[in-house]
Amino acid sequence: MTAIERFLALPSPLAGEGARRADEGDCDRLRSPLTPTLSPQGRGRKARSIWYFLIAGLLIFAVASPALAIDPLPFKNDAQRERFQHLTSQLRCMVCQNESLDASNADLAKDLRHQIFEMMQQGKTDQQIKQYLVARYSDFVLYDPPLKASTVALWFAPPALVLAGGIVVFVLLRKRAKPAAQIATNEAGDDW
Amino acid sequence: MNARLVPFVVFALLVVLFGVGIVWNEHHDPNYVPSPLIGKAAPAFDLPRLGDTAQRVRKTDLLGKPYLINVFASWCFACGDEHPILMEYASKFGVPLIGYDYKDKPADAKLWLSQHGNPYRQVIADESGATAIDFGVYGAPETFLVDAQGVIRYKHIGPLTADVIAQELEPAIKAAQSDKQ
Repeated sequence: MTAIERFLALPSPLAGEGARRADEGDCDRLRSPLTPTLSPQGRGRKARSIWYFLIAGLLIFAVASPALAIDPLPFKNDAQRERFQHLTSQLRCMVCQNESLDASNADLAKDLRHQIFEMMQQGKTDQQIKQYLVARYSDFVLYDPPLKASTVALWFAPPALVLAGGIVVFVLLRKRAKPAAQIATNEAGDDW
Repeated sequence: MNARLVPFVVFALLVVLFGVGIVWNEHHDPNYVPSPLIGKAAPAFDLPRLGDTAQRVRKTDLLGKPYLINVFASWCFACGDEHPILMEYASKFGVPLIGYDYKDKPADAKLWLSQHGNPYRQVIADESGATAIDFGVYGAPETFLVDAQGVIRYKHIGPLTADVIAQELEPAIKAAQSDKQ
């Protein structure tokens, strides 16, 4: 089963809406002000209004966070909201595995955001909330894998490989430097 | 060793490494995440029977003999792929097959079962999906094998197939049945 199939298997709250919008032809209406049949004056004004529209849209996206755009939760204050966003951005959505819980539109991600929100209201720490999720969905929910016996290779293989490569390069350079000094007497022909 | 051979040896090692990576990727489902619940007690639940909210089904009601829980939903299209297999095997498992209707409207689930057939001994309904979080459900269909003591012995994510049943599920059922005595 592929990721796409699994994603399709879950109901998306946006699927119906998107389809409906496409039917109503919003895309055509957005395109029409830029068609060259308009008078130059009218075109300039319309083009400018399009720019205002685009800039306003960009500003909205820059300010709004994904979680807030999806389902507003009644946070007590900004600090709590920031803590929530920081925590959910460190957690993986099990349905669309390349998305964080913060950004995902999947139904399960929505349920888990509500669950995390409730646990925060109960005074649970971030660590307790992570443990709750790990107990159910395994370490895979954490974007940062914990250091344990099964993840030693994951944590230490990259620095070990860099170190090994560094040693190899160092040894080769030393070898090369020596024959270079006595190149005239080197008759073995080993020029590597 | 002749130093001239070093680049070729390194190249050969890389070819082997990438080859192993390609083969591994072809036989590996990135959606498959082993459940941390295997070998642990199944979470306690208290859910209504599908279409009969007055009747509750609790984990304690089901203790005493092994059973299968199959998570499905009328909106889940992979469940439709799995359904004929369940219809065929439900009576062959040797343990009761319990349906777990996940985040579904009871009316939709009942219609779905009446159209496709009902392979389940009984169906419990989790309309909100809250209990499913305790089971670590993240994509229907999922199938759990729970033993007589209420411990989760095996879990399969995705549709059951004849191969999976023969190679994994049936041996797990036999093991769960044999340690009951």
